[in-house]
Amino acid sequence: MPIILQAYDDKEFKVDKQTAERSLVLKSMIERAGDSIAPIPLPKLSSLVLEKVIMFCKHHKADQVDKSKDYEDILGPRKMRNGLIRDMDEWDKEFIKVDKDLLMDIVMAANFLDIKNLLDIGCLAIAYMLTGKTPEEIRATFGIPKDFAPGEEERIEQEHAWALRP
Amino acid sequence: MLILELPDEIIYQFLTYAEDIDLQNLALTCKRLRGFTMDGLLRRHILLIRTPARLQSSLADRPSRDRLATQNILRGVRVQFNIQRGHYIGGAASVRSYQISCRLERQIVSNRISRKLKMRPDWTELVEKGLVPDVMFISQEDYEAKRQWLAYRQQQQLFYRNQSCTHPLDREESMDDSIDNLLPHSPTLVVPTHTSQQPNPQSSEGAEHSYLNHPRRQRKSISMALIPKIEILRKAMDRDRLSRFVQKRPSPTELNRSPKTATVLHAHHLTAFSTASSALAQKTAQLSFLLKGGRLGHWLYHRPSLAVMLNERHLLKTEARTAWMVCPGVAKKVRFYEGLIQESADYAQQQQAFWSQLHHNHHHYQYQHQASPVAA
Repeated sequence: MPIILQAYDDKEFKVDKQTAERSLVLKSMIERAGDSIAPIPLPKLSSLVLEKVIMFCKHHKADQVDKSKDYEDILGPRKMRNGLIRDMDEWDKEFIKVDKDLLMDIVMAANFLDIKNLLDIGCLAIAYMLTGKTPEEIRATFGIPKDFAPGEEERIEQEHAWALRP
Repeated sequence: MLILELPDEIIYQFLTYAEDIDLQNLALTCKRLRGFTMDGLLRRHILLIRTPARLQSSLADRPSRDRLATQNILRGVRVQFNIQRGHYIGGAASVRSYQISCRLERQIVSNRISRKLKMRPDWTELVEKGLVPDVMFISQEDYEAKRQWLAYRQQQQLFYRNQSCTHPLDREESMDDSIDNLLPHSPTLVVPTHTSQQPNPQSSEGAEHSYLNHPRRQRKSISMALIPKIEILRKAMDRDRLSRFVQKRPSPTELNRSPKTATVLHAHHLTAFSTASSALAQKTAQLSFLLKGGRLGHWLYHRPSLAVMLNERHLLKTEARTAWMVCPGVAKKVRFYEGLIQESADYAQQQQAFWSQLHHNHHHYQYQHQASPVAA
């Protein structure tokens, strides 16, 4: 039986139960409501974002939900960040190639709906966007205002000098 | 959507995926992100889990003990010599002697400073000698008050000196004087190197200055044989000080009369018993005990009621429960009324269920009634 998700602009999406259950929030809602479930309103998500999220869930609906694979395991010594990027399959890489605003919205949606894989991939993508950028470029990319007092920046740069040491 | 609008937990999550260099660049962008990147757990994760190799490499080029000793970071008695001979610092005894020497040194310096502070001329003197113009200082009244106070103090001191005793509350200062008189021996006795270099430390300020700047810890050494003697001397001095305090302690009548101590004693409802009239002492004790008992009774009488307190904090839900708490005899009645309330609630529920069923049946009936002609 299909479950209807309502986006911010009243657009409705029909998804099957297995797809919807990728989101732990929706899963618990479905379990509580039983068979007679009303359309679920998601007023925080625009239809564009919801479409993306549903696309991801559809692709991954057959995956095993592995509960043992938690934060520790992902960040453990064996699976470091580079390993994770390599582990990301081609479909995910293609999927996450979106512009910055949509990416932020997808991450927020993943956080809201509690979809762990999507959140991980989104965070990786954000981290990837930072690589090899100077502070100025990062500020320009993400629209961060510069709020350091004059001279403070140099002091912080000296503080962090050890990080650049080979 | 901006990156700063993301919730904190998401920012932390993607920071755990970011590279070190990127983190450093991120820290340079704005204050809030800098706060995130300085997070202890994140740093720990980066250092210990993601790049343990860097920690290894920096551990390899940490400074040797010898270098630490020359830089005066690792300190001890003849520490450089010991390290060069292959000992770590020189054993427990040398550590102990070093600690004692540090303590002694600190004490000597503090004594010297306090002596110099005492020798320093008062500003009224300076004004009187014309070294400092008095307009630079405070108003005339303050000046007058200070001078009067000084005169009064000198008079007092003269008076007590004539009586060959000191005021009980001035004894603290007189004690300091006596310690000062006692201690100038100790530096000469304990640290011969120091006195040989500085025959008169108060003679010239320049010499004093260079002496303070010099790293003394490294070259000063105390002979190991002297250390137990120093300890014995210190203990003996402490004992001596204590016994002098005991001898000079103020009598009970003095304590009761002196305005400083009397207020304290009064605040704690105590009286200092005079040994002069031993017959009265017991009675005084009894009286103070009774007074205390009276106070306790007053407090007990005026203590806040338990029921009122619980009611104020909304711990008890209903007033009926409060009544129950206050007077256990009411319990039966309370239970009876609570039963009544429950019964009435049950009755209302049953009635509602009945009505809704009736309504449903009616609808059903109507629906059948309408459906049949259509079927026909």
